[in-house]
Amino acid sequence: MRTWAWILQRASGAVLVFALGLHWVVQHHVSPGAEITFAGVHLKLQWLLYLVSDVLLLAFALFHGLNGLRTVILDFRVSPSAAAVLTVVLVLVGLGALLYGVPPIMAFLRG
Amino acid sequence: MQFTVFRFDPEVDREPRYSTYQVPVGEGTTLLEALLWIVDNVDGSLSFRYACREAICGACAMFVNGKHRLACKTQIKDLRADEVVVHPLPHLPIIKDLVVDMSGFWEKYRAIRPYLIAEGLGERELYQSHADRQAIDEMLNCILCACCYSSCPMVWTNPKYLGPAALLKAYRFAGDTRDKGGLERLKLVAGEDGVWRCHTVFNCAEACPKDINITWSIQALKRKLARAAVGLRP
Repeated sequence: MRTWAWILQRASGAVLVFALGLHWVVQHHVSPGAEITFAGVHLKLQWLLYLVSDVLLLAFALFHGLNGLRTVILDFRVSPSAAAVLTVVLVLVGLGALLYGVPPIMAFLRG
Repeated sequence: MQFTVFRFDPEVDREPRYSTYQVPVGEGTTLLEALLWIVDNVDGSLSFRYACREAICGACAMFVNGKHRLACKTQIKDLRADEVVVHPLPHLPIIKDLVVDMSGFWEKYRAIRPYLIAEGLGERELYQSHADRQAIDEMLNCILCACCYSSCPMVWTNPKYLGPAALLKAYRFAGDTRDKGGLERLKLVAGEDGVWRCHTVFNCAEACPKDINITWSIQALKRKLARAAVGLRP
């Protein structure tokens, strides 16, 4: 499991570089509704590329950050049972944050 | 020249202290010779380890003027200092003066099975090509002095971490074409207290008196584990 955590940390880091670049380009250069008004945001949040880039960024940033936090905590003297509890807590925090973060991005998807 | 030496005798001292000595230093005088001069002429109670006097046994590792060094290999003039300040290896329990408790170090060293795992040992020649030998050449220079172990911040924060010396030795055998330890050997370093605790601080490589890039070996072990995890040949 630890080997996979390490592999996925690197993989998610690489995806984040891509997603961050995509987010920047989409947000500032090609996105419709650049004007920050209700109508502009409404238009932007219906655009598929914007939604995909932001959900991608949120999901991978959460994984990368929480997996990194787990690594930092385990650098200190942590028992195997405490490490298992920590893993469960961080997975729940990650899923919770993802479920909390996705609906606002999708708010205008249904028109 | 003035030598300031860390002193602590747990049977007598409540706290560590420093002793100062004036030692005659000539061309080529080593730190080990200077310490032996102190014992012979000034203070016979000063304790430190040494054995080979030629930088191959690793016994006389110390922290000298802010850097990990072997006392026998360090010439005083090379320190380019007006004073020599000598400490025991940092972050290890002190037995007395410059002598530290290495039991944790050896325990972790034994945990990685630091020997060749092979069939037919002693029955036939186990051939190793020159190129295969060269691949682990650097790692074979390790003298187990514990300078890397003492300098690693991950060892300081997590006493269960195997540490750079044991992991270097694990790679020395995992990278040996004669070794048949394979995945079993890799599993010994794959746990939470194994290679994953290394965050490439490079303190070990900086501290090594044999100039071994220990960090590189630990990363090589990570690569082997990652390859095995995705089904590739380690």
